Amino acid sequence: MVERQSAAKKIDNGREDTDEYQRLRTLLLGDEYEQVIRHRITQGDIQRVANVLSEAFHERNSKDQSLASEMSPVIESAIDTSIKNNPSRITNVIFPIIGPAVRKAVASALADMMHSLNHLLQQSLTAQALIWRIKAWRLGVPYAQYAILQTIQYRVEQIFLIHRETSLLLQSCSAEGVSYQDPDLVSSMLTAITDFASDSFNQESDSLNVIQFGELTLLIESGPFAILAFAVRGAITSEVKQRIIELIENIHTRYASQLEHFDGDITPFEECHSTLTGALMQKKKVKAPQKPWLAISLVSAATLVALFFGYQHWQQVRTVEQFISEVEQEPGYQLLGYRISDNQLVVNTLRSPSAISVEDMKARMTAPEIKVKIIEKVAAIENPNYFLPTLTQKYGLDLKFEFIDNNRILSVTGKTTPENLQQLKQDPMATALFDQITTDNLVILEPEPEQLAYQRQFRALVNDINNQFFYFESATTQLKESSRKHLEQTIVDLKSLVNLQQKSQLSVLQITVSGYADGKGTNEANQILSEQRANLIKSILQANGIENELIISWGLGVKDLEKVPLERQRRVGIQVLYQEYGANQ
Amino acid sequence: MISKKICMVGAFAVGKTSLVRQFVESIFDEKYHTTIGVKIDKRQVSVKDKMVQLMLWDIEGVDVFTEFKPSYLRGASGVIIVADSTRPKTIEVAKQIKHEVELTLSNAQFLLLINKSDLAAKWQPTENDLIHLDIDSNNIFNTSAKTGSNVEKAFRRIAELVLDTQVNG
Repeated sequence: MVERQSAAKKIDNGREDTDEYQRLRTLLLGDEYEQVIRHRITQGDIQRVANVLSEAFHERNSKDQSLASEMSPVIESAIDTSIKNNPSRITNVIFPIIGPAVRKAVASALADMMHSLNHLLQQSLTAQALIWRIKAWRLGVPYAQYAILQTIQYRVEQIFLIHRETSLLLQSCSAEGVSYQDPDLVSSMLTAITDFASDSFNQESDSLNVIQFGELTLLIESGPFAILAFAVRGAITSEVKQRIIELIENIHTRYASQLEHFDGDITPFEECHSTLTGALMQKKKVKAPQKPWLAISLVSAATLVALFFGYQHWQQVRTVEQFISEVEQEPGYQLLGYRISDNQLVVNTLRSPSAISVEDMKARMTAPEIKVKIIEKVAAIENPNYFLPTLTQKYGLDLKFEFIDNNRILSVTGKTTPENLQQLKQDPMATALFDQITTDNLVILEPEPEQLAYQRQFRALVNDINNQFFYFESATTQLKESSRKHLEQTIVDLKSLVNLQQKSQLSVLQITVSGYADGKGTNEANQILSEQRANLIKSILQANGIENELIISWGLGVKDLEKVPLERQRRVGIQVLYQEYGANQ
Repeated sequence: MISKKICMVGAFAVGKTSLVRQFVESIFDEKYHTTIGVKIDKRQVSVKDKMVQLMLWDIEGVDVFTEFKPSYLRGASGVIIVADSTRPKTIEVAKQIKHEVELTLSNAQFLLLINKSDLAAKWQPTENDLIHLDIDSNNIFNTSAKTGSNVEKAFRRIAELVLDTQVNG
């Protein structure tokens, strides 16, 4: 202790002996001192800051919100740079949230649409809307403005940020659709009015906080250097008052020095425009959340009407079809055609004089749900030739009328299927006109057996597959783009072929995949490459569900003549071998 | 952009409002309307490639019934004192106003406009007046709000003056 005091005295007196001083330090702090010094020297500023950076952020963040507002421009420009440098990275990061966000947005847009439709209907159709319109007209204001006044509790329409000392406008913003005077003049005038009020009533320390005229209230909040004014329509709530105080405090924190040393340059305040715009708040009058009944009933009514007309049309079509088929069956009538025009069914017929009259026929039939007009042409039975062109056209046959032994005979020639001939024999027109139908010179076509058709189809597919080659890029197993498409088609063909086996009674024995290489390079390499190409196609076939047991593949190396172009040589071909069912057994 | 507050002061009916109107709207109206309180107008002028927005505070004229209200002056960078070339008394009012303004504003720039130059002048500022006013002769203009003579020039001059203070300050 004594030693320590004496050492201290020496320093006080300014007679510093370096050795003594050193000794004192060593005595007081010991080895730790050296360690601390060394530590401080070796550890740079950067590292020291790095050690406490996150704690510092935490500490400051718990005190106030300034960190967030200071960081936001940095983060904005960081994101901006990141997107410019590598857009895909950001895309990957936000990709998982895009889907849900879009779904949510679409759902809410639909709900909004329903509500706004409802709103529109309410505004144009309800009695209240009518009353509002009359009131708006009497007040001489546009209906939209009047309607807003009735539906909002309050709306901040304009915001002015004014420098207190000079009463110059620093920044202003206004809500959409609000018509306003020059904000520069308004802000100056506003200050003049407040000054006037203070002067007139000798309230030096107080200032005007609220100016009210009609529906509009001017809310004024003064800070030491700036004044914030909100032009609010409607009834002001504590929410708005709270907001204006927060905002003026926030602006004073952010722009403390710019405000204090303001010399008329308003550029630094341009960036707070978005902050001001954010404060253009509004609140709708609270109404119990309602289902949009008006919109729902309009949409349902529209659906019902559509359904009704749809059903009516379907019913009409059904009855018309029924009626037409009955006309077709009526003996002695030949339908020439029908159409619906001007809500009337017009039917053109040929009638033999022996058949019942149009009125009788109509009376017997189920009347369709439409007005019917039948245009008939009565054709004398003595001249069946008159009808022949109609029947010829209908059945595609050569027809001739013969009159033998008082019998009217229809002789039919040409080629036809048994079904067609059957239909002609039952045709009401033909039976009414002719006593007999002779088919002696008619060739009846036998129907082709189904199996044969399937076999023809099978062989055509095999032909297609066998004639298709798949070409490759030079020295690789990379398929050419066009061949890729051909391979897809071939896979479809192979599958159809397998499915046709049962019906055609033909079975696929083997699918041979042969690979080739072009004449360039060593034989060994080409051999390997050709095998690889064949194996690739084989594996693609397998992967697409072609039965593994059927496929064999081999590489043939270089087999082509020299005159074959190299690109045609680099290929794989497929051969399908097949035989008839049970040929082996 | 730079905004500056400029105040128009002077005795009643010297033509403050007419000068502002001539400068802002290029209109002159023979009818006299007395200004109550203050009227504010603005115009942008370009000085040395810079846009300066002048907020012109046209303060009601001083007479026996109206005393000068210094609160309107607060924060002004420039003050334009207006006198009437047909009424010698107005220079006395000008002197008095200058004195009062200086009590409120310490760094303002001053301009003296002797208005109504289209009419026959009844007086000229004496040397004593100029000493008393302490305004540089470059900053004194004979103007006419009616013909527009020197109006543009005078307002440009005040814009230059207030901009210079900014650069120097």
